[in-house]
Amino acid sequence: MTTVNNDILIIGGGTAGWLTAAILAKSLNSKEENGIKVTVVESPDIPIVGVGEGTWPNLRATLHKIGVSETDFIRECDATFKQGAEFINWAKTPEPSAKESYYHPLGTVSHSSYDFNLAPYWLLKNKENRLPYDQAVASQARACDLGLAPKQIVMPEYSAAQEYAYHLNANKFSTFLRKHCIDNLGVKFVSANVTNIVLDENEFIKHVETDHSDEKLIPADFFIDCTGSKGLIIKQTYNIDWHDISDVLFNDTAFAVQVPYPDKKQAIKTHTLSTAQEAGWIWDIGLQERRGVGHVFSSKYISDEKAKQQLIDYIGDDYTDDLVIRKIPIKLGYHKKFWHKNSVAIGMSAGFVEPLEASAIFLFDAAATMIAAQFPRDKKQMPYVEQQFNQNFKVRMERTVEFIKLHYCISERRDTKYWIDNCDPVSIPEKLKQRLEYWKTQPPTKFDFDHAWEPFNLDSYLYVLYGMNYDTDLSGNTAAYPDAKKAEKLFYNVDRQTELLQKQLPKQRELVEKVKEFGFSKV
Amino acid sequence: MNDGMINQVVIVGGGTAGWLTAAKLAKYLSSNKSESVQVTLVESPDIPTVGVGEGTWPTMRKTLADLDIAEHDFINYCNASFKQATKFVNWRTPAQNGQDSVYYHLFSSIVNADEFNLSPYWSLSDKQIDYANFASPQAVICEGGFAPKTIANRGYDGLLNYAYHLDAGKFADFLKKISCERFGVKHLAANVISTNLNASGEISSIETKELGRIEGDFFVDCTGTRCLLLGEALGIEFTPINDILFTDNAIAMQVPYQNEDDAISSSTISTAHAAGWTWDIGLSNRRGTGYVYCSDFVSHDQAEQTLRDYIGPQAEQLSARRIKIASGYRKKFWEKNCVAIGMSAAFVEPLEASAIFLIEASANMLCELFPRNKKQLGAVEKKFNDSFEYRWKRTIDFIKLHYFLSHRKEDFWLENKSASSVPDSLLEQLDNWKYRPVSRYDFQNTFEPFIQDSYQYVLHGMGYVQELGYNASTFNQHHTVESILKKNEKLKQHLQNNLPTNRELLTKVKAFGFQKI
Amino acid sequence: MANFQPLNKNQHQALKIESDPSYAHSAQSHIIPVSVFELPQVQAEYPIAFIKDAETGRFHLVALLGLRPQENLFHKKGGWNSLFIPQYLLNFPFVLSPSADQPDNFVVGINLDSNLVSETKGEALFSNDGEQTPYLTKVTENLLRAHSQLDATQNFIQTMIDKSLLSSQSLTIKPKNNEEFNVTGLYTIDESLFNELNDSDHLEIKNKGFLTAIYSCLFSTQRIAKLVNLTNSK
Repeated sequence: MTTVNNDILIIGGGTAGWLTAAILAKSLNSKEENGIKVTVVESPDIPIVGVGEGTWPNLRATLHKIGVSETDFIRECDATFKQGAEFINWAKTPEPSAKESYYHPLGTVSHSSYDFNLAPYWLLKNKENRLPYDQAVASQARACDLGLAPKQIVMPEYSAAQEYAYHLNANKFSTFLRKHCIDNLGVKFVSANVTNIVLDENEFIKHVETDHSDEKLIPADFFIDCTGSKGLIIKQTYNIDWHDISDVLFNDTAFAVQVPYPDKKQAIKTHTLSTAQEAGWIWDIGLQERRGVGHVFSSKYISDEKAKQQLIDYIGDDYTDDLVIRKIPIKLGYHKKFWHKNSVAIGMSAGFVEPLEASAIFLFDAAATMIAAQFPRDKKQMPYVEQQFNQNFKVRMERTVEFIKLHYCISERRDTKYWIDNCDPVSIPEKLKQRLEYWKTQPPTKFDFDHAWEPFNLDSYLYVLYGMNYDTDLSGNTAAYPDAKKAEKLFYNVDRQTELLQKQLPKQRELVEKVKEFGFSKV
Repeated sequence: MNDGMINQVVIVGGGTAGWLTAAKLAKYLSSNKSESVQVTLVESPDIPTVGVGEGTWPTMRKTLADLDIAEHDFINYCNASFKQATKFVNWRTPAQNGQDSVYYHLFSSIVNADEFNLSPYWSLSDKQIDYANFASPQAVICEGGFAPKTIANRGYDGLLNYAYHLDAGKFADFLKKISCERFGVKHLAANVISTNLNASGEISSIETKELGRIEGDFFVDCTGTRCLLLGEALGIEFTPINDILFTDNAIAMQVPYQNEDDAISSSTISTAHAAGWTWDIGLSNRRGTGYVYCSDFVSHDQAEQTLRDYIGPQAEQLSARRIKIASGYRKKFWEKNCVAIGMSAAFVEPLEASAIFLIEASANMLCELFPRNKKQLGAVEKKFNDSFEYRWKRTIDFIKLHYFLSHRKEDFWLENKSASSVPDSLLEQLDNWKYRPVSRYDFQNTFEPFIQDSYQYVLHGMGYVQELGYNASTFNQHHTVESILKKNEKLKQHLQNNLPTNRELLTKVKAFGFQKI
Repeated sequence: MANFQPLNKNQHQALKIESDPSYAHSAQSHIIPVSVFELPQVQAEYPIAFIKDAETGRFHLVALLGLRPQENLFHKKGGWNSLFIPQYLLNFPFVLSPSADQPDNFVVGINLDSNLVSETKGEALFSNDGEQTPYLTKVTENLLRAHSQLDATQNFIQTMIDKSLLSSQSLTIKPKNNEEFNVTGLYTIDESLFNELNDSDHLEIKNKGFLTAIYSCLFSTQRIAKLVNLTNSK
């Protein structure tokens, strides 16, 4: 048994498997003679889940780092630009005449709340005539309303006028990454089913067995479980305890459908829409060629038939009978540890939280990036990195669950039992409860977010809290916010910024067409 | 104290802690408006301040700018000079054949570690050039006694990252003036005799010799090591850490410059000796020096002699002051309606000038989370205590790192390496760093007092041996490294050709000041 | 190079001063200081800027004669590329300095090394009986006037700084047949900052009489194009 880890085997493809392969192969220089080698074994039979289509801005940096051209990516993955999410009908019971919604944009507010927190000044404005929080502090929210793209065709790849991420076709993305890994990053690909995972006397994984004619036995030093909810390593081999969160987040099923554009040239939204329903919510993601729409709901509160019907109603005129609606059961929760001995689970194998804030791909990327940076070349270091990784990702999962719960538990909706139960304090995680209590009389500040790896930070919480009109009562504390002049200037700057952006930025469809035709330049 | 609103803040104690907190809090709360929270500072007219804390961090620039203070006003009043680094002399090994062992812990690097980490590349190189010079242009600038900026740079802006050396007594005075004249702080000169608590165990008032009872809703304890409010009145215990950091005394001397145009050092010089280390800080008008030592390993007389030897023949005319130091921190810093800031909260030997920095950080958090209503006290108390306990522990870890990595053989130094005196957290990290470079994932807290870059300067400066060779294939961006190093060399040249010396610049600052833009 | 001596009717009785319509003494200068009072005339032909003194960090109010150090686009053989001549140029080779024994008084000095100074050509300084000629009297008046305007100019500069009206500029110049280059280190009055001034600051500036000066600075930015033209025609 060698003392160093030279070979990594990733079981499973999909976004998690191939993104991890790319990040590791690039960072660890698989192409070099003594670089760490990365192999992916992917089943030709098991389809990928293929509905994860929303991402976060860290993907841009990752794609750039692994040497992918943004132009190629956009052309081959049906991708469009995403600037945030719009939450419709979350705060109040919906009224037929009035649509209520707020944005959670991806950029920080134009000045960054860490330098100067505008939230208290917004809170102190007159409720009757003040702008909604997102409109007041972020030109990006308004840009989303106007359907503007986040950059111009002349800007170099990956650069941004407004912080952005992507909507992408999951299947195409997998294929795209696989090709890039094999052609450019020195990743070895074995198309086979894994039939057995063999452990040594210390319960470390020695090798895996497959049904491949040549590669019957694939040894490696380190193994990554990207087998999705099957959890071939983390669940079936090691049976790592599962932390169920169904008492916090109730959804357990999704119906997903792909909806074509009736008019090939119609406008594409530049953000994810999330519309709250009686017992769940519907996502709506616009790619180049079609939309991805789905209803995430709790079967404990609504029947499949009703849920399906609500989805069809949502799609409205664009719905045709030949559209295939797929049912996907979802199990919300995560394993109590992700890294065990010489293996780690990345992707849905590690756990899953409903895609309300597109956190999944964000977390796969973050996990692979951390493992790449900390990879224990020397086997002796594995226990230390195992502990560091598990601790880090436990916090990230916990905070992600809390952030998702936030969207539910401060709603004023009480129109169905689903909403009543979702707002019941007994379903709210303790840390979130404490924060919300504190935020009744103080707005969030940077001191509330002292964990360096918290996935959703001050800005994100502010958008959701005040998009939902959370009542932070600052009366009697006005003297703590004396910088009204500076605040006014910053509010005014948002107005001016929006005007400028409107003049300079193209619409989403227009930009995407140009990228397909001309591409972005490298500089 | 009616309806639970906090309207009166009483800060007990002056000095840097008291007056910096007063200035920041009063400005933040608009105390010069009568309807705002009022800030009063009660200071003894008899008890002198400690007056030897003279090193700061780059955060001080923002702190002063936020108080609307013009940089040149501060520099001229407080005899301040520019600090760009700490220079560690003979920490790694004692002087050999007349040659000192030296390394720099700098404020600026040619590229920040989180953008591109040069550390593993240096570790894998033949180390012909020391890490500080590899990773930064600032070491040669410090060696040459250059300033970090020119007179044409606007206030608080520089070509290199910098902080200040300042005259502590003058600084407190300066802040006092500003607090009272501009921000509405009320200054009362009185000696505190006792503290009164109410039924809930909160402080309701203090009794003073000269002015009788002074009431308040919220109290800040800046009484230094006496810790009159948090310690004496509220009974919060002190956790000593002299099992980790052994020094228990300091001898201080102020040394005039022999000639008016003597060079002013660009860095704090910290020189290791048999039972401790000397600080040497160059202000514009004189130096502040001192020997921090452990009396278990050297007598007070010997210690004083060490300092006098360090200073040289000039020392004969100079008098020395001995200050007893108790390293450690309070079990809590905030209790009910009282928070301790400054030496009342904690004290750790000034090896990395952390004291004033932690005063700034405490005042920042106090301002931003200031509880207007007593109902909020509990939640803020917890946040503050958790955050600062972490920060002090990490500061102690970082200081201990300097001792633990030393190769010196005197008893004091050997004792410092005994595993029982080293926090587990530090041992674990060091083990980890034997085989892997320092990484941003090793830092979990947004408010880490010392960041990745700092650890790298000290680790490499102290000669900690890393074994990264087996993983060399992972560090293959040689092109990038080469171009960064080239850039560094060019910048060193450019800066040496264009920067004035510290003394030249300070002379111009007196004459012309810095512009706002 | 520059040998300034206080004028003395005994030593310098015979001196005569020529005038030079090409102001050759400024051939290597790309900036010259101007007075706040002459800004309306300056702006017609020269860009006006605020420049930091490298030795003191303080600002000077200047007219740009060129876009690069040591480049003077106005000076040409036998002439000058504009009609208005700023007073700083006119006063050469004379200066005003405080008198050695009475610091509150001033004396007129002259650069004896200048090739405009001789005993044969140009205007006489003193008459045969040692009295100042009307020429010298006029020179003295001009110098005193320029000096009296220094404080007002400094006041104008300081007001622009205090009211945060200056912003730093960097220009990219693309000459017709040459590589493009950057001009940095210039500060100008920022029009949008000026327009956002609150009422009381605006009134204060008006009462100090600085509105004309501010508008002159703003209009003068149009003259950059003229300098680019002059660069192109070199």
